[in-house]
Amino acid sequence: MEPLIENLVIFGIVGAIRTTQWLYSTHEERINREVEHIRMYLKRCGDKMKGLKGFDLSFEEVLGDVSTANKCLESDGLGNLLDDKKFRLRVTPVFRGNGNVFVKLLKYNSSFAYAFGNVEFDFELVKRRKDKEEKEEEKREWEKREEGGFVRSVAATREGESDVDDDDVDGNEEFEHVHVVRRCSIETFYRVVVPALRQISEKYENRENEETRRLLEVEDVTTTRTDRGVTGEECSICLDASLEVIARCGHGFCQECYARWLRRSGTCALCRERLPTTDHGGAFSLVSFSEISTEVPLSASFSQTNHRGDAEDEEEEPEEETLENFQICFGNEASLEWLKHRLSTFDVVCEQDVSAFRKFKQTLFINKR
Amino acid sequence: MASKRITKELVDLQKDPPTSCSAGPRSEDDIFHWDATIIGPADSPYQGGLFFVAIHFPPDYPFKPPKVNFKTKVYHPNVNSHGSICLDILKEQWSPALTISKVLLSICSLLCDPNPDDPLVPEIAHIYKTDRPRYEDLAREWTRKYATL
Repeated sequence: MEPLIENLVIFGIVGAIRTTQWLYSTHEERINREVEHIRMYLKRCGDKMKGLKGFDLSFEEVLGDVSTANKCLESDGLGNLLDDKKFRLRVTPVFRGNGNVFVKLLKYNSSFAYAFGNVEFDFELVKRRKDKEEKEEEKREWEKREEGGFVRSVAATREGESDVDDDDVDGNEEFEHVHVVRRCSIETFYRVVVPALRQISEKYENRENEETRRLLEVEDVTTTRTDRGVTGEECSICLDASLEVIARCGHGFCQECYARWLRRSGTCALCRERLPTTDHGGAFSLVSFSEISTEVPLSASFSQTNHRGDAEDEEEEPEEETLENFQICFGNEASLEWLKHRLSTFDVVCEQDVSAFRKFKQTLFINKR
Repeated sequence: MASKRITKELVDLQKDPPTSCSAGPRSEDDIFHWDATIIGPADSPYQGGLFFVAIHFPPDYPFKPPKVNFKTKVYHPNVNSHGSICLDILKEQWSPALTISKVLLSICSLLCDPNPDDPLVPEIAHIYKTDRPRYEDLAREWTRKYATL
């Protein structure tokens, strides 16, 4: 036989065997494989992408951040994120291989699969754990519309078909009705979602206590990674203003100090990481929502107008740079609206039914920490 | 901004003073000139000495490093006869996240561990590299002579 055909046949047989193996593998095996892919992916990213500290994370840290995010999403402060209070969002890390068939084979069979895919974060709509008396009236069917991922219509309640899990007594009822509504990249997760959630839940927790508003509370969330700086309480340059800008490396400063030091040195003042010279160093900012036009919360741009204290500064021209990637604007009630809006820009993924696999995976990811 | 930050540092220093050094403005009305003292580190030939240091903050502090000079004569490869200190964080490695107390601490550790590969006084660096006991004797003698009250 021709060597080429021989090879093709062998490849076909091997592929078929492996695919069969995959089809008949148990949930645990699949999850373990996925976890392994995520791990390897993170390791590879850690070496490659120096730009964002988030990529230096270990799998455990990612799980920690995911559970933090989920804790925030569950908290009362974010109750208004969705229009319907009966539901909440939940984040799950997933590994997604490329769509190509060959790569799919690789994904499920080869230990190099991580090189052919991405770790992404799915945002799922799940029911809040319901009170006993509310249980009865909750037989809903969902509908996903194409735009505005969180819009759902409470369609005709189907009395007859009670959901299988409804009477689960093992406390697993919250795992029903999982619909993946949005997904985002790991970078977006770390640059937008995590800081946003922290910010919002902190704001909420401190609302009663105005004078300690700036003290960031969530200890169990922040103690794990002190070098990140996202949760610091004051700008480490002027030792005074609160954090307004988060540099690409994750360190926080106030707007004025960050811009000044960036212009002068092009590095982060805390870790000396080299920052891009354009695009405001790739930073995103935490600014009061009232400072920018509420009409355009998404493409919020902000021209640096005030250069107080720059009087003695030498040759440097106060540049009229706009912060194109102002990604987060917070400070008041509008912040929730903003996050809502931001989430709605993530890719829509619609998975109408929830496989047992997914539920099983939830137990792993949610109960891990 | 500079004076605000300097005031802030002063408050922090008074609240939580470092063990081996002290610092404060020379006079009430000029916050940009400070005097500091460093106690010679115990595990070095500078033990028992009290070293005076002058600190001058530039107007755009903390974006530019403060000028720090020894007022006491020190026998050290990285400190010259004018008291200039060769320390990377006071020059190109400066970061606005550094504070005076961190700088003084760095100077303390520079006293313990001289950096003879980047010397300010090549003769002392040479002695330090080739004849360590002699360097220690000389440093101890200078400390006794100039840095003891």
